[in-house]
Amino acid sequence: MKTTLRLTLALVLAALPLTAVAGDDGDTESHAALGLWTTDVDGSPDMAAEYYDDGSGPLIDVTVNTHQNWGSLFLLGDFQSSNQNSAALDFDIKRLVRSHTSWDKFVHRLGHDPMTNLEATSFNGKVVQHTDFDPTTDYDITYSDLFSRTELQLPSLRALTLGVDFRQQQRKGHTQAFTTSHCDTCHIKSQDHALDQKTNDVTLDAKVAWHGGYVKGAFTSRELKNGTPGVPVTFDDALHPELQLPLFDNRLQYDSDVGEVIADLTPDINKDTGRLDLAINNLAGFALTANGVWSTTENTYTGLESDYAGYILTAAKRFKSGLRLRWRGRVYSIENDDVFVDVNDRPGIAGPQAGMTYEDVYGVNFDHTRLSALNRDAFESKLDASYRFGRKAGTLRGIWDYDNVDREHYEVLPGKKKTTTNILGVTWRARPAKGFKFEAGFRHADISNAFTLIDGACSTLVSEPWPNPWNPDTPQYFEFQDERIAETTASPSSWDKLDLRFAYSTGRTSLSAKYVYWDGDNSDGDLTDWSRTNQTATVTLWSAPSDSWSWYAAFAWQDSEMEAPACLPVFDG
Amino acid sequence: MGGQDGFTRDLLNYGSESNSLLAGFKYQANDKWDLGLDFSWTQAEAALSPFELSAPEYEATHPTMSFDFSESHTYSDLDSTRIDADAWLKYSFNKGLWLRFRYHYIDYQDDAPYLYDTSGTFQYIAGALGWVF
Repeated sequence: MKTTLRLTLALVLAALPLTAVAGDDGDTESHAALGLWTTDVDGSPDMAAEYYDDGSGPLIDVTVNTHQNWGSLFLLGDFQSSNQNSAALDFDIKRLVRSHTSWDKFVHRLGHDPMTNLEATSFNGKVVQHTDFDPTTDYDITYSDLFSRTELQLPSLRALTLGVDFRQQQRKGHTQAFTTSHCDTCHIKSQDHALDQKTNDVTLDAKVAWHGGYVKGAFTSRELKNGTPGVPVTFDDALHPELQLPLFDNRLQYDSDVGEVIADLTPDINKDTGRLDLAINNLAGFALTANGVWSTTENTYTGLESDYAGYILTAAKRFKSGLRLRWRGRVYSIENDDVFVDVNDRPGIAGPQAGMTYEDVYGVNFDHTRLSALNRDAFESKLDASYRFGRKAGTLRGIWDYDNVDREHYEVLPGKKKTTTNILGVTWRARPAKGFKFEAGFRHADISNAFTLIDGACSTLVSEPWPNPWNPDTPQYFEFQDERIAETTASPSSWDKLDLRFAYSTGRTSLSAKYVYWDGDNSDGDLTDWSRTNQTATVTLWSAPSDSWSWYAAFAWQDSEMEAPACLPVFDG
Repeated sequence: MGGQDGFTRDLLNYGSESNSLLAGFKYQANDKWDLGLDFSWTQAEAALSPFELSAPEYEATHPTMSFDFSESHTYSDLDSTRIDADAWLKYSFNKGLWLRFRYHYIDYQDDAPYLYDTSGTFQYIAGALGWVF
């Protein structure tokens, strides 16, 4: 309460001298409001008040808006609580310095998973069990966003505009961290993870404009820091479920023997981005834009880097015949560092495999170098041609979108790393009578080698039963996985989209309706039978019978059907 | 260790549907009254159709194993209804002084809880006196 009152007083005191700065010569409009607010919550606030603060207290909002000979000033302060408030400050001094600053802060409730759903089929703790170390904690964060941009434009050099941006996003609060120990049982543990994350972006840019276009260069430096990046956890002792003896230490990287390790870890990130934009209003009748973006993102914990370079070119021209052409082309590449994964290969401490690592017994070492699935060279093209027949006959528009992603390492179907998408579409838009608007569109997409997970499900392994897991002939999980044959996906290899829009307006009343149908499927891989159909419809009616009042009513409907196969290995073990 | 006998497979069907109604009005008169109401009602549900992943031959030779998934599809049921009503009123005594109120009501009913029951009601009421300077 003390903080609230101090902030309230500070806002009022800050606003009063600004009215004096405004002076009497220009146009000034300012107001302030003081009041009270209170809330009532019945049941869980997690969904009903997901983004709202609860409690009670004073509220204040202040607005100062003035236009004077020296420039203009806008100040906004809206304070409800230390968790929910906003502010803005804009000023313009003789067009020489222009500045915009905004601040927003609000709460986000994250809910607390009691993990009781883990008891849906098994209650005795042999298959699955859960432990909540902080069962009464309310998990939520406050998010704040401070953004400021200031531009400088010297009268002696009007063509040049210099700008500086600063943005700070903060997430403070508590999140629920989960860890899984998997040996004796599947043991899910929950604990509080205090969050104090800060992301700072600083951008410097310069723009030179002339009558026929402009060129702009910008550099952005981002720093993301997690005040508490992880939580300590001790995994359960790896015990045989029935014998309760430590017989499986050579099958798990971590258990209680290695002590405390850090989990729920989010790395700190540094990112540098350079950008160059060029616009030419008229080159042989075409309006052209070109830009390039180069960035390097570094995980400061591991030193691993990701590089991106992308270039975009657009061209547009309207011909006297009524034909209009637009084209947008983009090429980009992503290059991520390789990651060597050194598996913690521990020897067994008891039983038949005591003193032997998993590799000693089965001849398999799981150390590997992870090559990024995101490494790629991509090209995108969007061509759009439209012709206007007339007001009543309308405009006919055709589109062709082409997209090619060439991955460096990752296969999306056996032997295939390249995905190519072609989308063809046609749209007709018309005003057949006064007050009526109508639009109909259809698109068809064909995707060759859509993204799938090769051999992602359906293990065909057939084995004999063996008396115990230490028999060298007993099938191992990696052998189960090696025998999978189905390509799984959630990406279509072709889709169709129908889009209908209608609007009618009489001036004081308007009616609009929209219907969208989308249907896609993929059966390109082995046992890949994925399909999805989405439909949405909206109808909106608005009317203003007089200048003093207006009303509206709307209805929205959404329906989705998805089919995908499920495979279950038939085994006992 | 009972060994593995291949896999069992079925096609899953997952459907979702939502319906929303929105309505509201705004009234301004005599430079004195400014009031309005926004109301919305949304009902959304999603469900997995029954599926079968049976393994009768394996169960016959491994009587301790069960491949009965007759109830498993119900774990994916979602069914929620949200009502959101926001009313405000502003009365201007003169050009320099006004009084305003706001009432916000949200009711969320979770009729098929997933992790836990998130049903709840939130009410917000605020009043303020404002002046122009």
